[in-house]
Amino acid sequence: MNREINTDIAGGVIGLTLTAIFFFSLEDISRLSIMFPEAIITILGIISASLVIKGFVAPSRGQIFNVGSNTRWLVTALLFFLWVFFIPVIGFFVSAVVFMTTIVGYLAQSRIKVTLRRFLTWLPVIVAEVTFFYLIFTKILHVPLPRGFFF
Amino acid sequence: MLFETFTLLLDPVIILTVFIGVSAGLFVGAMPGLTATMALAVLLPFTFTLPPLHGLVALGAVYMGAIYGGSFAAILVNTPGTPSSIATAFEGYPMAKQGRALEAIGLATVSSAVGGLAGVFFLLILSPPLARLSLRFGPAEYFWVAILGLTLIASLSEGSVIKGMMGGALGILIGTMGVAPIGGETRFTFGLPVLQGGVAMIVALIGLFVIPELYTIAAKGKTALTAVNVDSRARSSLWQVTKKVFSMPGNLIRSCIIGEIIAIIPGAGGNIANLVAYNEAKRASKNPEKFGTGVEEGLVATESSNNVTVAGSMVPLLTLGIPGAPPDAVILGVMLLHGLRPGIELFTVNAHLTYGFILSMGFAAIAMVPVGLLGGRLIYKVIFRTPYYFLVPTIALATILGTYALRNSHTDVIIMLLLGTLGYIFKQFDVAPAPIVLGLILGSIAEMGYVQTVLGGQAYTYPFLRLFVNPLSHILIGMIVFSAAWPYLSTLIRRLKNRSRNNMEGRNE
Repeated sequence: MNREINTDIAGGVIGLTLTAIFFFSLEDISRLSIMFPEAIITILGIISASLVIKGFVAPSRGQIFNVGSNTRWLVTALLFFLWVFFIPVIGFFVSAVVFMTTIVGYLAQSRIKVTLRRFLTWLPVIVAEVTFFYLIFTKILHVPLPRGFFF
Repeated sequence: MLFETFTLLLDPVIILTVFIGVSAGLFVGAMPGLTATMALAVLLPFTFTLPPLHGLVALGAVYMGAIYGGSFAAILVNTPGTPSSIATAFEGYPMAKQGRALEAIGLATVSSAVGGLAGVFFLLILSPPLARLSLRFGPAEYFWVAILGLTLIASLSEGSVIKGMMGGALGILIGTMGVAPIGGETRFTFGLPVLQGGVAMIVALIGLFVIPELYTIAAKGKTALTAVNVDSRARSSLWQVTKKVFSMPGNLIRSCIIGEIIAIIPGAGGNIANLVAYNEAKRASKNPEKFGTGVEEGLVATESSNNVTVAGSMVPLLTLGIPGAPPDAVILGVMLLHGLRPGIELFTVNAHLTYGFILSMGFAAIAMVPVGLLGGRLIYKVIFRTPYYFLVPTIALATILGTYALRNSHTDVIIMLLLGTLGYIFKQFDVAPAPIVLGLILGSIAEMGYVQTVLGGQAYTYPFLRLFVNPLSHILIGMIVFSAAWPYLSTLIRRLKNRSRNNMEGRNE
């Protein structure tokens, strides 16, 4: 998406959308709890509307999502979300090893040729890294990390 | 009294505690996503078995090291290790890209040490009058202080003040999710019970600062870290960087004073001080247009001011029991565990302990120089010898673990990731993460101030007018108006100057 867009209008529309989302989520609760958020929603609405007006009067233009490969960040984001989703299912340790290896393999493609041999070199490094963090957090800092099917 | 306490601190065990504390703090602070508060909270159980002085010395050293350690990640990977180093990235990272990473680290080290010592000096000398001043701050003043912080960050936003303000307002709204501080009812849960606890500040902070950076590195691929041209021969000696830091005394003194003033305002710590000091350094500079390209003044301003706040924020803590910054809350907990109650007793009955703790932070500031310069090179090597495809999942691992460990909550990890992804999308439209985060930090302070003032103003026809009554509020409002108008005023002044220059040239021709 390397086309220039009016970032003021785009930003203003996002701001107005968020204003609407928060406005319609205002529940019927006591004045004390709601007076401050109400004031801020009003301010956000005014700022967003000003931004839209500025977009027509003195627009700022810029390219969006023009840094590197959009596919690469989107796939990385997807892998992050899957990783987090699977933590309670297969446990912290296993999910970390599986998804870190997948992310390393995926991102490495842009720089080097990924072969089975390389994978076998990376795997012990990743396992050692995850083990190090796992032991620090569970044994020294006593943070109970999620366990899944395995451990 | 001070000399006696000083000799107490020369105990080898205490000196060793200082070095271990600074090293641990440096390591945690340098890891993106791991904050000073987290370092203190995680290391808290280790101090239970120590005598009170040793425990407090350890925590003071960890705090000092962590705030300084945040500069490493800011300089080397453009991700503030702690919120106190947000502005460090503005100049430190461009310096690193120019192959001056080691010089930037050296400048940050010396500036942090000077700032740390200045904070201890301020705490020792100015503690009584500063404590009196902070006592004058009522709810209305807290509200205006929060708004001042937001306008400052908005004016710092590159390109557009309006977008900065929009980010700030959005941050405040995210901060209002969950239970209301006054009123006690839940808001903006969108029908999801998991949101009843609200969005923890550190969770949002980690997400908004770390995740967009990881996506950017992933998107750039090959060019992600190779863009940073590192020249290990371009190493400045300690003497050279010290000379550079002291060659800008005005900047150094101003930044330390800003750090101290902000530190004594409860709730406002290094996270605000570094941004304000940077902004002021930019305003005072002869070449403000060069800021953002690797200007040493900016780096010195941020790193000296944020380390001033370590000792500086102890003023309200030690005198009133009000944490000046989030990490202070952990220190307050330790003090109470050891039966130490903040107040006049600390400076009379437990004077040796209190002054020992204060002076040990000075020791920690000095210890940062050898620990930082040796550890800095190690961290530098680890970060730059790691291929980007290993760096991304490793930082993600630390980020996920750090977020989870805060409250043992899987939901927090999901929220962190969601906010980070939204932050990356907002960034595309020039809405930077910094104003959103600052809105989140200052939102609760602003809300408490606003609601309490309005409640106290029931005698007025319009209760909110109570916000405009006190003289201190007038000063703060003046600063807010000036700060918000400054970007437009500076543009106007520049245009007028250019016009008069063109007129002069026209006449000469």
